[in-house]
Amino acid sequence: MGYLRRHPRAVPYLLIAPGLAWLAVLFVVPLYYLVTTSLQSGDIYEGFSLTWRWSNYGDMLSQYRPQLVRSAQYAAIATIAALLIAYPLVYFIARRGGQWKSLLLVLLVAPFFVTYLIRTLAWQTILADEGDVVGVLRDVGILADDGRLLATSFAVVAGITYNYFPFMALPLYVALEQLDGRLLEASSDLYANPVKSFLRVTLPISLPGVFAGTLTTFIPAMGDFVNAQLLGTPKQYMIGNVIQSKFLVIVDYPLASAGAVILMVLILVGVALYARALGTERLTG
Amino acid sequence: MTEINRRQLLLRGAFGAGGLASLPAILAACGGSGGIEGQSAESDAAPASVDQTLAEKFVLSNWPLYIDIDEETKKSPTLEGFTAETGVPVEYIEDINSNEEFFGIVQGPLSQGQFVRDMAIPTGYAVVKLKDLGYLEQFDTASIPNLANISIPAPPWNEGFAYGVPWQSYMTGIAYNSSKIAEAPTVEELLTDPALKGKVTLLNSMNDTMGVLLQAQGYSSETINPDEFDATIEVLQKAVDDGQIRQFTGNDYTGPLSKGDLFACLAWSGDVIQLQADDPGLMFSIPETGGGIATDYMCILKGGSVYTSSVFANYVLDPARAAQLSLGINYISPVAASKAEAEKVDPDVASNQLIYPDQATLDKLQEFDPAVVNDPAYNEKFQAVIGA
Repeated sequence: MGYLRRHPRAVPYLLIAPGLAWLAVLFVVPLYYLVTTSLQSGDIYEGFSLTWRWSNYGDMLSQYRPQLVRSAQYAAIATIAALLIAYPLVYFIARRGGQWKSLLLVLLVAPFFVTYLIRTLAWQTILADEGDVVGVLRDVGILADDGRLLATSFAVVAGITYNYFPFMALPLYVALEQLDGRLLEASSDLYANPVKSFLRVTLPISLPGVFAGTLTTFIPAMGDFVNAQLLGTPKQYMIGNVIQSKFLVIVDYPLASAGAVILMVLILVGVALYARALGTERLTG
Repeated sequence: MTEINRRQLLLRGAFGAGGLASLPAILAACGGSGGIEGQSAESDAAPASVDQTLAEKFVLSNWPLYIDIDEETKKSPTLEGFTAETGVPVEYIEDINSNEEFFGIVQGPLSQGQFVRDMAIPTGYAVVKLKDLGYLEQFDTASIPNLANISIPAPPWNEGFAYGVPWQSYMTGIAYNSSKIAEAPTVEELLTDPALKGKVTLLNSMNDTMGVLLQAQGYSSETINPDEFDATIEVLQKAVDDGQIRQFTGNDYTGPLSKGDLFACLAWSGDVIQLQADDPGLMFSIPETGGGIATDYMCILKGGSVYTSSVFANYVLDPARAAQLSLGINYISPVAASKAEAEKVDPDVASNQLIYPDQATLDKLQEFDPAVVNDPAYNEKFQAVIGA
C-alpha cells in the first residue's frame, strides 16, 4: 500500500494490468501467430516456414471472392432483419412490459440456453421439405409445388438471423430501457406526433444500442459457417466454410490464416466506416 | 513408463497454463506448425521393449454409434467387459465426426508431444497420415495373439498390423427411401436424373464420393490416374452446377433421408442398417458400377499406453467379442470367424450381406487410393467442387 500511496499515478495502470495481460496472451500473441502463419509456405509433411508469401492473400481473394461477398451480404441482411424484428419487440418489453418485463426478457433469451448446434439443427426440421411450414407455403401458393426452403439462401439467412438475435436484442433493450419517459412527454407537449417523437427522441437516444447491436450481430455473422453448412448447399457457403475447410480438411494453415486475416481486416474497415457514418460522438456520448 | 510420461506431460501442461513465467513455453507451443524433426525415423524402429504394465485409465476416441450398447443398462458390454477383465476403466469419447476434423483437433497437441488419447479409431488413410507424421506408437504385437484371427490382408503401409489394428470395415453405396423412389438409382441417375434434382446428397469425404463416382465412370479408384480423376471431377461439378446435388454431408444425411427430404444419397452401410430398425423403407444398395470399402483402424497416438492399447486390441479381436461388437453396430468385422459366433445369437444378421458380405459382394467394392486422399492437390480439387 505504501508504494501506491507514494505513486498514485501507478494505480490506473495496475488496475488495467490484468486486462492487458489477458489481451496480450489471448489476443496479441495469437494474432501475431495468425499473421506470421498467413505468410508461410510448405505443407504438413515438410513443415511450414515463414517465406513472406504474400501471394497467399492474393490467392484467397481471387479464388474465394464469391464466398467473401456472400458472407458480407448474408451478414448484412441478417443484421438488418434482426434489427427490424428486435426493435419493436424490445421496445414493447422495455416501455410497456411493466411487471412482466423481467419474465418477457427471460422468455426472449430462454431458447438460447439450448446449444447453438441443436438450434440450427432444429431449423432443418422446421424448414424440411415435407414439413408443415413448407406444406402451408405450398398450399397458399407462395412456394411452387416442388419448391423448398431448406438448402436455400433463405434458410441460411434465417438461421443466422435467429442464432444471433439476442446479440441484437439485448443491447437494444439496455438502450430503450434507459430512455427517460419524461422526454417523450415533453416531446408530445411540444406538439410532436408519435412518429415525430420516435424519430426525434426515441431513435436518436437508442442509437448507441442500435450501433452495439448491429456490431455484435454482424461481426460473428460474417464469420459464421455452421448455418451455411447445415441449412445451405455448397452454393451458399460463406468465407467461414472456406477457412474451416482449408484449416481442417486441406490442412493448409497459411491459406486458412490468410483467409482469417482478410476477414478480420474487412470487418475492421467495415466497422470503422460504419462508426464514422453514424458519428462516434453521438454513440459514445 | 507411459504413466510417468503422461504425468510429466500433465505437469508440464499445468505449468504452461499456470503463469506468465512460462510464457516462452506457451509461445513455443503456439508456434508449432507441422514438420516434425526426426520423429518418423524414431517411430519406424521397432519398439525395443514394451512396459507390460497396464495404465490406470484407458482413453479411447471413437465415432458416434460405433460401439455396442446394451439397451437396458445403456452401457457397452465390450468396454465393461474389458474393464472387468483388466481392471482398467475406459474413458470413452465419441468425438470423431470426420477424419479431417479429428486430425485438426489432435494435430496441434501431437506435434508438441502432448498426450491426447491412448487410442483413436480413424479410417485407414487418416492412419497413414498420422503414421507418416510420426504421431503413432507401434502396437506391441507380441501381446496381441488374436491378430491371427484377422481375415483381411494387412495393407502395405501397415505390415503385420503394427500401426493399425482393424476395428470394423464399412461400405459406401447408395441409400434410398423406397417410399419416394421404387428402386435403387444408379450413380449416373443420382447425378443427372431430373426426378432426383435437389433430392440427392453426396458425402463430403473425398474417398467415399470420388471412389463411387470414379468407378461409375469406368475408372479404378484403387490406383488413381490424375486425368481420370479430373474427368470425374468435371462430371461432379456439372451435377453441382445443375442443382442436382443438394448438399455434401457427413453422417447428417440420416435425418433428411428418413424424413423424405432426400430421395437418395451416398451413404455408409452400417448407418442404413441402424436406420432400418425405425424405418424399414430405407434401403441400401451397392451400385452395379461398384461401391467403396474402407477400414477403420485402432491406433495408438503418441504418448498413449502401448501395452494397454495392445491388450484392448487383443480383447476385441476374440471371435465371440468381435461378433458381439458387429451385432451391436452392424458394421463389417475384420474377424471372419466371428460369423459363426454371430449365427448363434442372431442368424438374420449373420446372413446380412452388409454385415457379413460374401466374396461376390466384396468383389464389387474397391478401397480408395490412400496416397490420393492424403495429397493436398487432389483434396483442393474436390473441396473446390463441394464449395469450400
